[in-house]
Amino acid sequence: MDEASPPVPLEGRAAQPRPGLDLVDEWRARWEELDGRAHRAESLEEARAMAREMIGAATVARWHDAPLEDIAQAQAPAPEAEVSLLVADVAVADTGQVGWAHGAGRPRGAGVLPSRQVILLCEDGVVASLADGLTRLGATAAPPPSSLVLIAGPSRTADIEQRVIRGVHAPREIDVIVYGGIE
Amino acid sequence: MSHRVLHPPRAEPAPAITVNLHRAAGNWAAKRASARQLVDWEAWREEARRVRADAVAHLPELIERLEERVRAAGGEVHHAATAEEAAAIIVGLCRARGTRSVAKAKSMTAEEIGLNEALELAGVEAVETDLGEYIVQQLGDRPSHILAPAVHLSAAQVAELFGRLSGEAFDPEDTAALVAYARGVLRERFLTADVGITGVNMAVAETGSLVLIESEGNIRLSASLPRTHIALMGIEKVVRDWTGAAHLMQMLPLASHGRPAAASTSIVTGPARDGDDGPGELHLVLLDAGRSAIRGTDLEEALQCIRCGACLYACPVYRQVGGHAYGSSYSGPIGAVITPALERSSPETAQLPWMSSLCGACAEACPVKIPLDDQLVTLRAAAQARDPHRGEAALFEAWARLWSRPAGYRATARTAGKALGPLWRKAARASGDGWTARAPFPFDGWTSTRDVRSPAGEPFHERWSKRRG
Repeated sequence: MDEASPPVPLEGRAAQPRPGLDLVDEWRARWEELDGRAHRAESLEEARAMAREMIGAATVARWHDAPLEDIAQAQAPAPEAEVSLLVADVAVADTGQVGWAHGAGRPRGAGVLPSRQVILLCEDGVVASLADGLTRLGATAAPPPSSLVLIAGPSRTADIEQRVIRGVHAPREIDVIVYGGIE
Repeated sequence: MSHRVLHPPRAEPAPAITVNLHRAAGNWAAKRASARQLVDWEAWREEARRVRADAVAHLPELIERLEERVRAAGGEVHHAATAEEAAAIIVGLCRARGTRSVAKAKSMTAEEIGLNEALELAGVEAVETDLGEYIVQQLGDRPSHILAPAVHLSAAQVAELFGRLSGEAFDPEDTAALVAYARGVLRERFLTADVGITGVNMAVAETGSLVLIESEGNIRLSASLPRTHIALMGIEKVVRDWTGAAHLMQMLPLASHGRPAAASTSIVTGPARDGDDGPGELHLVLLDAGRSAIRGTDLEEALQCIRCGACLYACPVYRQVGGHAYGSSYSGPIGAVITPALERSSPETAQLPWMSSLCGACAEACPVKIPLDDQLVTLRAAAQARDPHRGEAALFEAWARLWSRPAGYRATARTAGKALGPLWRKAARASGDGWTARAPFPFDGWTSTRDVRSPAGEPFHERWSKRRG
């Protein structure tokens, strides 16, 4: 048994960096492997327009973050809404994860109940490793936010004869729109 | 269901358990290969082992820190020395809140303490919300794999069950419809449950955070919507800091599914605060139940386990017999080690270490490098020392002496084939394919749960020397 050896720093990268890809593309490749959908927008305005088009007339439960205002036409409580509209705080290139903190104006039900989900993410939030992502989310703060979530694609199950089905208890379809950093 | 396992019984369809398990194990092997392309597997295993060994070596100090940080974040901490105590604490918490309905997310630790039975006795309805667990619970069955509780069941059995529960007909081939039905039923439960009960994959002492990892989303719902969240964990699940936790958060899904992330990871630090609308109360129940007693023994490394399920799929014995054959909450190689280790004196579990071929595939698959095969041998020796079978030992010694000489081996192999062959072959002829379902006395006890081939009339080495002229 090793005695109080200092922690070995993580390599930081789960995979070999892929030549010619930036962090957003690396994250996107992983996220799409996990059956998530990703889109890129030049600006927040373009991202909002894309979200508006994806949602159409569907009922929405959304968070109160400023970038999400006036996108949806019809709102509904989370248990009834068809789509949830959120912002993510981080995306992790190594693992394909997208993460956020719950808190004021960011109810948990809206993050998990509707079967479709549209997420806006500023590209400044894309980091290389999970350790970086956790730090960015505040996991290492004293204390961390009471609830952090990281998702990797739609929820899934293979409990019946190993057949993979997407969308069990959490969203079945997830679109992430990554928009350019604030210049 | 038939419990014959080695050879599918004739005139009866092959039991779903063998077919499903082989498919699941095949899938797992493919995923393992992909995991090894993603990371430097041996280096990652070593780092994961170091993180877990550090936690086990400093367990009392880390548990103390965890407890302090959970309390500082507003959570309550309860210590349970035994399984019964843990169940009583949780039942007490539910009773004190007038709880009628509990949303329960899959937890092997809850299985270990018999939580469902305890809640039922107390009149609290606890619904399993993991799809596989829900199916198993509604059937009155028990889970057979750490991660895939219903891996022993066929889609037809699930369709039949859901048909019975709903009064509608289900097509076993339409898996999506089966899943949609369960989603609908369980959604109602999440929205009305007073208490959510979950396990814990790891707890980070540094900040008092609980990490919950899953595919389906039911754990996130159980820890989000009810007013009270009760989290149950074995004390060994603690890790020192976020650097170690970040590594294990990737290693666990890599070992289970060949991917560096599970579909959903929830990190809970205390009850809801700062405008978060989650549970107003968080209770962490810390279960010892024999774990502290394993520290400092030659089985200590078993406490490093992160419950990934890899050793189960890797094990040729598990793949044939399935999880139920172990008769304990934890099955497969880790179950054969941890169950007798936790209950050192129990005669029922003392036999578990023999449910292995000692091939070592479990130790090789283990992402935290638990020497499971060595530990199985250690446990066998301990069981033998406690309850020596002197006659059996003498017989094996005599056999070893005889067969370590070629002449001795040849003489007995020929005699056995000649003496037993005719009787045995008669039974095999009845079966039509050389397999004997019931061997002649005195070997019939051995075949009550196995099929065997009849011994060759002519030993291999004789045929070999004839062929070579």
